Amino acid sequence: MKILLIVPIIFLLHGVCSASYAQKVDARSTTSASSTATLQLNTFAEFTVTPVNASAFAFNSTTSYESGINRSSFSSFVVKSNMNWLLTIRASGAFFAASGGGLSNTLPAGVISFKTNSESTYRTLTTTAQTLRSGAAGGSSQPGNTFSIDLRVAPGYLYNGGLYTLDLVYTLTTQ
Amino acid sequence: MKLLVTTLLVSFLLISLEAHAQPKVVQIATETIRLQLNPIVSSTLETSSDTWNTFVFEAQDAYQRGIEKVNASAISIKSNLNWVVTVRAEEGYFRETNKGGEIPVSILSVRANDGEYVRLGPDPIIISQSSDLSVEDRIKKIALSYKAHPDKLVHTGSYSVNLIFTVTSK
Repeated sequence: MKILLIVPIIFLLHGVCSASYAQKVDARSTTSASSTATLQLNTFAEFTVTPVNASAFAFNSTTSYESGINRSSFSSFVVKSNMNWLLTIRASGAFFAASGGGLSNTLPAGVISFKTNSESTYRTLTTTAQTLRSGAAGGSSQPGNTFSIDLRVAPGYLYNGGLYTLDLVYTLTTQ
Repeated sequence: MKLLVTTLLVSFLLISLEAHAQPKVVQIATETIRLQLNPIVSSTLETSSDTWNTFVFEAQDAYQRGIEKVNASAISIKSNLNWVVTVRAEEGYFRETNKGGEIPVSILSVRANDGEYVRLGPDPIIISQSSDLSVEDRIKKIALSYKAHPDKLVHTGSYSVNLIFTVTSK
């Protein structure tokens, strides 16, 4: 890539030197010179995820076990990109990690459902990446580039009591 | 000069190819979700009818054979812990309403599902329990049947006693 950048520079310098030389040879003639300013705008895209309401989901009652716990605005996202973008979500593994002995190792990622705050239907979390949101080039003020996600967790009674953890993996790609 | 032009053309082609590259991952982030599943043992008593707990002795046959009410009530359990169900009478006797008569509570027996009938008393008796907290045990419905067999010489009247079912983790 360095070679590619150096070559145009040499070319431009060569043009400028040629113009100067022409002026000295014939001072009476009108001369003009031009140069090209080159901007190399590389792809830029980044996002930030900020926990908003991300404390542990605590299940204490039959209602919470059976109906699940809904958590609005679990995390907020801001995407900045000079290209159209796509943000996906997936579980890092098929099962939660259990803290402590005697706990279930079979608590599946699928007890989690998610949606963006503008959606009405929850989708089940899997280890396969699912589109969380796509958007157009722009900063945080670009419509759609700032949003949050809602989570629902409904484990039921099939898993022993204890603390379980699972990583959510967000991946930003440019389109 | 030709070399420069050729190089420039090649560089433009490369830039063009780069501009039409496939979607590429530019950032990955992870966030941990934590679930605190607290121990829970929940139970509810369900009844089959309004008279599930009323035994009416009128005929001699009823006194001789007793009265059985199969699946008259049930206990629904929801739990993520192993559990045990016990039953006991609040006191050792049926008490006659507004009078002083009494009948030993042992004339009443109860059984869980297809188990054996056990005579009731003031002390807790285990009638059912989970094993290894299987999937079936985590959401369990236990049918309760009752059999009352009083002595026919008991004084006529209305008698009652409270039964206490307890579901505890073990």
